[in-house]
Amino acid sequence: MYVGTAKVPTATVAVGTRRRRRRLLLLAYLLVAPAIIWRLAVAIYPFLITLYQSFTDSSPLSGTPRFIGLDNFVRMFHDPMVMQSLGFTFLFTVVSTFVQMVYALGIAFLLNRPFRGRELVRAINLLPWAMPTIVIATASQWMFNNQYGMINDLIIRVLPFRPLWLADPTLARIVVILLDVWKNAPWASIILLAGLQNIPSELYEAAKVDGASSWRTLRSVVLPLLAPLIFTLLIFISTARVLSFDLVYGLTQGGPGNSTTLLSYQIYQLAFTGLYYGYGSAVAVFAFLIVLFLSLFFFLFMRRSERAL
Amino acid sequence: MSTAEVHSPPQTPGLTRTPKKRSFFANIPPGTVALYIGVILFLLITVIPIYWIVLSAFTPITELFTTPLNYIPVHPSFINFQTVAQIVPLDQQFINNTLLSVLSAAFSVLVSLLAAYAFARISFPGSNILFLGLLISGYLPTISIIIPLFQMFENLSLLDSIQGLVILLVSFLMPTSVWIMTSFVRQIPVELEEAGQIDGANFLSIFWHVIIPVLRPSIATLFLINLVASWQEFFFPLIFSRSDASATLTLGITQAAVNPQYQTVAWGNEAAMGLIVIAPIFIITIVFQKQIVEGLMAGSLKG
Repeated sequence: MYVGTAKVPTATVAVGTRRRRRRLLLLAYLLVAPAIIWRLAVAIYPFLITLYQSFTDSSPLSGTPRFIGLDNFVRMFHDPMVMQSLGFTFLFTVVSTFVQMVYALGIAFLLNRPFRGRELVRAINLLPWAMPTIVIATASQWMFNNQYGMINDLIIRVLPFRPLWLADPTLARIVVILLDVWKNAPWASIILLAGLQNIPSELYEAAKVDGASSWRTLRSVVLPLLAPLIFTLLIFISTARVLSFDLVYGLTQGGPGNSTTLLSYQIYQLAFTGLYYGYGSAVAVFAFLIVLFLSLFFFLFMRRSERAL
Repeated sequence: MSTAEVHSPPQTPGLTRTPKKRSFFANIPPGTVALYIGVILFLLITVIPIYWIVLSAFTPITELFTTPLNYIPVHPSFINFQTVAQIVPLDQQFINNTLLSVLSAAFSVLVSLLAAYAFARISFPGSNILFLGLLISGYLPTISIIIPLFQMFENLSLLDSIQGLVILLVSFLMPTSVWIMTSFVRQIPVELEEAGQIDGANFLSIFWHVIIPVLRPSIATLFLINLVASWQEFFFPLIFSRSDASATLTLGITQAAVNPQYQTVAWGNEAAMGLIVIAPIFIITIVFQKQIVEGLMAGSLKG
């Protein structure tokens, strides 16, 4: 989202009498009210409650919540389970965001070239986007099964071993990342494709006349022009990675051990299995802070790359 | 689309290739082979996992456990679907899933359309703050608000109801929907409405007779995107559904695996259930491919 471009108001309504103006203002507030109230009631207000509860020991099992200051946050940093999930969430976010961006760029360049059946391939590219993550997760349990899964069946035809994909912590992490990329890169690739189509063809021709190689054209013409879009996408991709839930829930349940527990799954466990509402809220507030930090980080890069154009 | 043609070699009339006998491959311009290899690789990566689900769904469970695997069903059958229909209340879940996604898509489009019109066309005090506030509120993680939402819904008796899930999903879809819709409204020429105002028509009649007809394709686009997004929803039903009354097909997937008849996880059932979930939404996605792609692009580029 280019939040910056939204700042210019479009004052297009003709100036009328004072009474008309007042009615118009009333109309405007009436029109935006449902959207605003909906978000206030179902997002902003609950978030404030989460903030408040993060300083309490709230739980449906105990009586009235007590205010305990920063105890939940202190506890969080001494909780090996939460720390381990933070560690994997960090790794997952960095690796998956990077691989997804590279793969999405690859798809976008591919689908931007003319070839026979391109429309069909573009349609097929939408399928992972339309596929519920929980379906991918459960199907993959089977696909990556050691004895009867398709992946090992293909491997054994070439190489003499069957990796224990979901029983080995490192391999399980790789599987989670691969599936995440498979599901989500197509969406990013569609947006990058739109960006590629917006680049005027004269620029390619000019680069060709200058004798630039295709690698050079990519580096000096295409990528700088795409940079604001790439950084905008990085905000979306990275924050969504921090908050991924369905994949781990359906595929590994955080295992083996605690090796693939992502932060959202950890919070879900704390809140809805352990019934630690207060403590879960504290970790959830921390998740929000990570998302906030990532958004601002890439937003600044996006602004810089826009100015560079 | 025009930029895509840049890479094709220029065709000069006098310099066409010699009609002499040459091998088929010699006529392919350099780079094309690499392009087609890329396309084929991409297709394999994308299609094989989906094919795997389809294959497993139509393979009887006794034939699923073979080494090496059969990649073409030897005895295709509907037995897995029949088993799933016995374990999972498919009709109810299908109705719930459809209601949830259609209602969520419809309400999110309606509410965002109203707000988008005000943001795009009327300058009023606080419009920038409210618009930015709406967008930024989209960055509030669902997991960071889920505990109070659960407590709220418990107190309001909204747990385990389709209405409750629609309220949640519409809220979730709202920030992006307002963003996309506002960019769509900004693309309509203002002259259309001004002509209406000169005729003395009031706001409602302009909105109904001028804006809605022009925006119809955009409304359809946003509706489709939100429909596909809502169809996939898993997290809200997981937390808020308590019984078959509000369980969705996505929840059914976790039930389908448990088959009392076999002690192991019933993979064939899971594949059949997966296919039941993805088939409707795949059909919609393929049929409305153009509109969906347009909508996804609009959300990110225009402002």
